[in-house]
Amino acid sequence: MEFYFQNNFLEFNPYLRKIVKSSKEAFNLLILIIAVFFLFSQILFFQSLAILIFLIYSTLFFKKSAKEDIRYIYHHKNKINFDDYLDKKTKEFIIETLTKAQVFKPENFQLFLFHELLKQKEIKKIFFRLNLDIPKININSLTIIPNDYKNQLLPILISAFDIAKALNLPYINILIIFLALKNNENQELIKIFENMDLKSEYLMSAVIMEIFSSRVAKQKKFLFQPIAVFQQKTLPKVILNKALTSKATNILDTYGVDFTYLANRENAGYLIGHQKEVENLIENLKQGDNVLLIGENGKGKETIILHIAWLIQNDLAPVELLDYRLVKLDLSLVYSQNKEKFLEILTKIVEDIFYSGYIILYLPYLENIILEKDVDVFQVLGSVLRSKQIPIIATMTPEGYIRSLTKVNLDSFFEKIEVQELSEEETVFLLTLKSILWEKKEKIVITPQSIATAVFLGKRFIKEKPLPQSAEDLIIEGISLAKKVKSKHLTKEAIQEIVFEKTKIPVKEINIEEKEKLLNLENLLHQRIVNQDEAIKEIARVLRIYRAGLEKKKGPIGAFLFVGPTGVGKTETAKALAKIYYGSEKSMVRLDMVEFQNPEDIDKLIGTKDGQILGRLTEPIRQNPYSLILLDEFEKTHPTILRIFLPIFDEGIIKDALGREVDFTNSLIICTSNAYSEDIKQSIEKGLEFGKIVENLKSKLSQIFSVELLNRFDQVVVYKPLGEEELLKIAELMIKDLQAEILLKHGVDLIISLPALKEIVRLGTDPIYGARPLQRKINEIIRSEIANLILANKLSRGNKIIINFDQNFDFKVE
Amino acid sequence: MIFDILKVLILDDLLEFLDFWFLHFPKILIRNYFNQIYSFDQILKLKANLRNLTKPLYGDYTFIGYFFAFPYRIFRVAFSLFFYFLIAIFYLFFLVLWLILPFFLILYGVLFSK
Repeated sequence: MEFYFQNNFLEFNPYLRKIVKSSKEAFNLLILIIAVFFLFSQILFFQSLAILIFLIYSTLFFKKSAKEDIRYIYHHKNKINFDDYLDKKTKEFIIETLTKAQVFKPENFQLFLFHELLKQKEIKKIFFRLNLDIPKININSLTIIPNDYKNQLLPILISAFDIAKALNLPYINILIIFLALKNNENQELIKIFENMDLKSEYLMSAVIMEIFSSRVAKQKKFLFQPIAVFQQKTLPKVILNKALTSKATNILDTYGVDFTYLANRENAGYLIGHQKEVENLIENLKQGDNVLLIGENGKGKETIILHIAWLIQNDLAPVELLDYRLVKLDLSLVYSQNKEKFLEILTKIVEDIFYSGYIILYLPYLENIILEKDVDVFQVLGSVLRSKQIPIIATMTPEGYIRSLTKVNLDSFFEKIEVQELSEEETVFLLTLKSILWEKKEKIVITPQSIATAVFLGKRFIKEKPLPQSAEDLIIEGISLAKKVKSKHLTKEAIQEIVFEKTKIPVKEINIEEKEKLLNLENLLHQRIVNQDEAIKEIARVLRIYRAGLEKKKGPIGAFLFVGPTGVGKTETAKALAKIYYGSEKSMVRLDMVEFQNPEDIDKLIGTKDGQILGRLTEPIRQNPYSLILLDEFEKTHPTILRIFLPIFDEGIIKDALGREVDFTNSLIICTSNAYSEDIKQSIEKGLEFGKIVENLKSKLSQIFSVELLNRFDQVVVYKPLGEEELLKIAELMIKDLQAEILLKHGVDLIISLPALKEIVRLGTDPIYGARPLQRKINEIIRSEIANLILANKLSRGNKIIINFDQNFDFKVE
Repeated sequence: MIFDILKVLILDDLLEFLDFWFLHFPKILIRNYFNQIYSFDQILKLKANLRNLTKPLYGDYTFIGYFFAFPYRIFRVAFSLFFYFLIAIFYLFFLVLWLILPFFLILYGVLFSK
């Protein structure tokens, strides 16, 4: 196809163009006056009328739209003059801009076009919607001969044409020109858009909302009405299929809802995405198979079925299905209303359907009735499903499907179709359209940034619900939050706030306090951990990368294996991190892997299929994905169970026993192990270089852990055994904690002499348990003595306890 | 140059007007006719009746069922066709009026003025 822009006005030089344009307006006015004069004087009455019609056409409403319609371009057309596809206002704007450009001779035409666009009313509205200030642009003029501006305009018009075609618009308007300019890769413009943080998808949403909001405002029955709204309306007493080949189904109509009827009356059934599922579903129905749609709530199972009803109603389904009615029958609802006579009613409904024919039965949430203890729905439904005489579509959640399999072999009755989650682009488009309705109802401007943020965060962090539901809920909550703070706009910050409240994942922009904390994380951790620089450095590094938004695309924030003897600070590192960075030690999920030494212990880790036992690893992460996971004594885990950790470390995602995805991508995983700690000690005693020891240990670890597993750790860190100096430092840290506690509670200061400290270290360290008994010793010697002093009323506020050691511990109160 | 100016002043708009009046608007009208037929068929169901011309009504597969269904469907098909034809005539009438209106307005004054 050849594209060009040909307009007779552009043939003149810019000055003459102005004169001709003004003359034309004057000329039209003159003719109008003459025509009106002749009309009223009844001379040449009919001719004047013809001229008036012509003038009305050329000045008023007819020419508002473009000459040609983009939606109806013939295939054989190979030349496109953009002059025919621009609406009147845009055409005038383009000619005006070209005229100005020829006079001012801007260096960068696209920047000049952007500058001119910013003055337009429509673009100002877009900036208001985006909650952005209109940028100030400086235009540099050229002193040399100007470029061919018309040719520079052409790629923008081509891009605008493609966008208009994709959006099924009849012609190109100013908004589309603006969108096309954004998509064009002009370096200076890219910089301006980047400074404003204005992404293409934000602009696209804003433009769609502006264009479609006027259409939606006119439409009474809009396609996105939630189904519950019209289910409440009374249905006619007798519903038949449109070919009148079916019989009346009184009993079915009492308990069911006719979707084909709703699709006709309420214009329901609009669908975005899910094309594959629809094709599969139709194909299976054509072949006479029963279909089971499996997908989490909120993925759009019912919307797909409603769309099938819409296709049938509008003669767009295959001919085999055209004369069917699609009727929804919620069996668990029927059961809850008629527990005693349920099977009797169901039998009557089935007879009704057999008798009538031409009915596709839709059974939502089939698992609810299957899992009902007191009733066996398959007594009636089994033979119906087996005979395949009534096409049946059932829906289930993956969890419900797995639980139902324990009661009935569903695969022998149904063809399974898994409903996929909508893509992020599809969800943004859907929510953009829905936002038009929300805006109308709630009188608030929903910024495209908030929609994109809701979709982005909903997809990543609200794992209990799929798209579009997760993002939709965020926007709805965002609207009420914005209304509460009396804001005119729903911003992306409001959405981030809601996600943070729900998940505690730090999705908000990083604040100064957190920045400080992250930059000083090593120092902060060193306040509690002595030595072990490598481990601390690695943890601080991955957390900084994560919060700067530069994390790796797959897997958890970090997965570490800390190896070393007992009591050297492996677990303490995790605890310190939980307290300093995650707020409290309670936000750590700690599992002692000694409890997972048998293959059947996997149930304790990921739960059971009947849902009786919840996974001790999966459930806390489902509830709170932003967690620190500590897996103590990792080497004691059974090898079968260890295999579960491969996808966790690799993809960051596993499915629990109920088939629900559990996302570890916002978790930090620390595994500890004291495997080969004796070897480490001996090597150190032999005076072997530490680097060499680490190397030896890593190769030995492959005897316990598979190489795939070891390779998936971000870092295997070997903890050094603690020397006397380190132990003294640890004891000092512990005493410091005690000091602070006593000062706070009793106002008493605590001073310990070096000999006393050394004695505590001597008593509190153990060749097997490292520094672990140290805290116990401090409690035994110091804490209990202070307790005695308090009980004997020998301490009062402002006192000082000085602890000395000379053969025995001496506690002096001053 | 003068010709170019005159072309922009008068001819361009006139040509565009003629293009609109004699080509563009008739196209819109024809599209509109088919859209109308499509929405009417939601009620009259010509396609559904044609598809099921030999099938009985209300699942009554007896002789009586067939006996009454066929003429009923034939009647509905004929009625729908007639109705759509009537609408087509109406549209055609309007289209002809639309097309001759400019000629009428210009020529009427010349031919029939005193």
